[in-house]
Amino acid sequence: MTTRAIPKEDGRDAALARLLLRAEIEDFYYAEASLLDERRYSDWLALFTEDTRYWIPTRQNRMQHQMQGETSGEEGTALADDDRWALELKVRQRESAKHWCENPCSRTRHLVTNVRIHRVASDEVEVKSSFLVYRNRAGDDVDLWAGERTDTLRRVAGSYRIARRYILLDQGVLLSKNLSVFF
Amino acid sequence: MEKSDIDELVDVDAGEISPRIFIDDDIFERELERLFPRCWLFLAHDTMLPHVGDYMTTYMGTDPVVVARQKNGSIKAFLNFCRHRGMPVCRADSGNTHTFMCSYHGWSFNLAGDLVGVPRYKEGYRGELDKSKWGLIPVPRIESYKGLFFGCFDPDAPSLREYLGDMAWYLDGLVDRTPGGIEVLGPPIKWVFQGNWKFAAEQFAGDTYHLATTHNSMFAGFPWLSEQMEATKRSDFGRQFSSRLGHGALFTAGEPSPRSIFSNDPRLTEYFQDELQRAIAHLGRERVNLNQVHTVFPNFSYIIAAPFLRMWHPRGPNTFEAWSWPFVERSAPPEVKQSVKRSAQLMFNPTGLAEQDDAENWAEIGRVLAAGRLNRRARLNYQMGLGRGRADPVHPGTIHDTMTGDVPQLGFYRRWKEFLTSESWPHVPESELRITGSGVACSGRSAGEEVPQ
Ligand code: FES
Ligand SMILES: [Fe+2]
Repeated sequence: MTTRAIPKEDGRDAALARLLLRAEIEDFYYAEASLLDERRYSDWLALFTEDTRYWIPTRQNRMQHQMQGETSGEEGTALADDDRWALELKVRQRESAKHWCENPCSRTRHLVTNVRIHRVASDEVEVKSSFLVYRNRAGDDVDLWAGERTDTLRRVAGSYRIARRYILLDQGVLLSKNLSVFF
Repeated sequence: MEKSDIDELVDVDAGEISPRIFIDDDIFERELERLFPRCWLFLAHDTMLPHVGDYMTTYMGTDPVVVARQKNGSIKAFLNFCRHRGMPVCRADSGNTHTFMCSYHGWSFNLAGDLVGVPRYKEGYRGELDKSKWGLIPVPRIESYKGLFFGCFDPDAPSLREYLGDMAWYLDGLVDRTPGGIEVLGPPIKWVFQGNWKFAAEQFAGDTYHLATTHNSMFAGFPWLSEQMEATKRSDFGRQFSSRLGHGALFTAGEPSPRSIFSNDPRLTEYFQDELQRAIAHLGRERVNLNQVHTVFPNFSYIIAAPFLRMWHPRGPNTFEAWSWPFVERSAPPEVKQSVKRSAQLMFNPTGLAEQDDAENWAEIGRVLAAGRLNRRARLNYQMGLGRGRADPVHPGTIHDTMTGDVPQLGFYRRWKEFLTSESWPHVPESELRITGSGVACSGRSAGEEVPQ
């Protein structure tokens, strides 16, 4: 076992800066998750930029030598591929009190973990995170969804906005009657 | 279970149906014995398997099957079931191959399902195994209607064209609307959940009634759609079509239907104005006027204007799997294809503004039927428009003069009951087939099974 060299001052600063950035982004995610779990959908929508894209590609079982088809691309279908307009329609629907699959309301819990910062540009950060979302409604009706999000977070007026969210859901056949939840 | 038991469960004349048809194990077993192996079931559209060696796995009834594009361009399908010990020979949802190798002991089968490779053939079987006897079990009949491939296991079934009957005139609105036809986009969106497959199939055969309530929350986003929705409440708005062969549809009739695209993309408006003119020139104003939701008996549905194709795969008496494919006009420019696809997904995916609430209904009925026993003794009401079907000079089949009613749903269950109670293939006497008006002319025009390539 080798002993690690104590980082030079500037190295430590960089490490600290990374740590702070990650903490800041984790705080953003925890706040976002509680907006969803507290059913504050309009507030959640406000976290997205006007040019956002919320994209859940379709996934298939493929043989290993043809894995490029495992996750659908731009040309293929998607479970969701929403711009801001489409996301807003979904939020308005949720708030209409006539969206019967969410009235009575589900109980959800969004767990966000494994936060990894991939790229830092002047005003944007690309971040990967893992999630586990639990939903219970109508007595014993329970769904669990695990997956990974790749976000582009844009710094706007001292805080973050989601400029792109790419969601890899870890199910081939969706194992629930619908996806009335947001990830 | 006796024939009289099933007769009692579905009373078409009174418009009463027992909820047991949606939950009983016996009924489901009988569907697997007498319905799915006898019907023509949708397998794939031509454009889903464009290249030699392209394959996809699907179900016929509950049986897993593989569908593959052959070297000569034709389509074949087989049970996904190795003849050695029963291992599925294809375990991917789709791909391209020249051989299906069973990953248990290594038997391999070519695209046509023939057994072509047996490890230790000489030493183990002493070269005496007759490979020609141990190929994959083929779907014996595959026929196409204008690029839609259906499979059937029953040698006594009529041709696909006869099976579709009066439905073909309407189906042309899907597959023959413009000269180039359609392109189906994949991979299919799949979701599996509690409920009986017939809830979905009967709804797509004619249930306009649920729109105002079930989908109330989605209309807020689309003012023009709210207006249309209000119109559906008028007793003279739209029609239902019921086929003596079990198929059904709801449609608006009157003016060329705007392609109901749920998108804020202005490029689509321009494109669809042009598309409409091409459709009128090709298919004729009469049928372009129809804005349709269909079920081809028993479990293939689609919405032409949405636009998507849908299979309802039964997975048990109280579980089914929905598969959905958006489709586009094959000749549409790429940006239009993208936009049409997105709008279909926005409404009709399990994430969609419409579809989320449909599944809630089906799953909730499944939940209370699974839990209850007294509720199974009750009868369900299918009496809206009872006995009000009539022949029509223009539209083939039995027509109900409003979009809202139970006419095609009852027609669906009448046919369903014939399949479940009949010892042999339940042929409908010629005298009962009501193909009227332009349907006659059309069935002449589109007769025969076109095989692409
Ligand atoms: S089960 Fe397929 S080779 Fe044995
Ligand atoms: Fe619906």
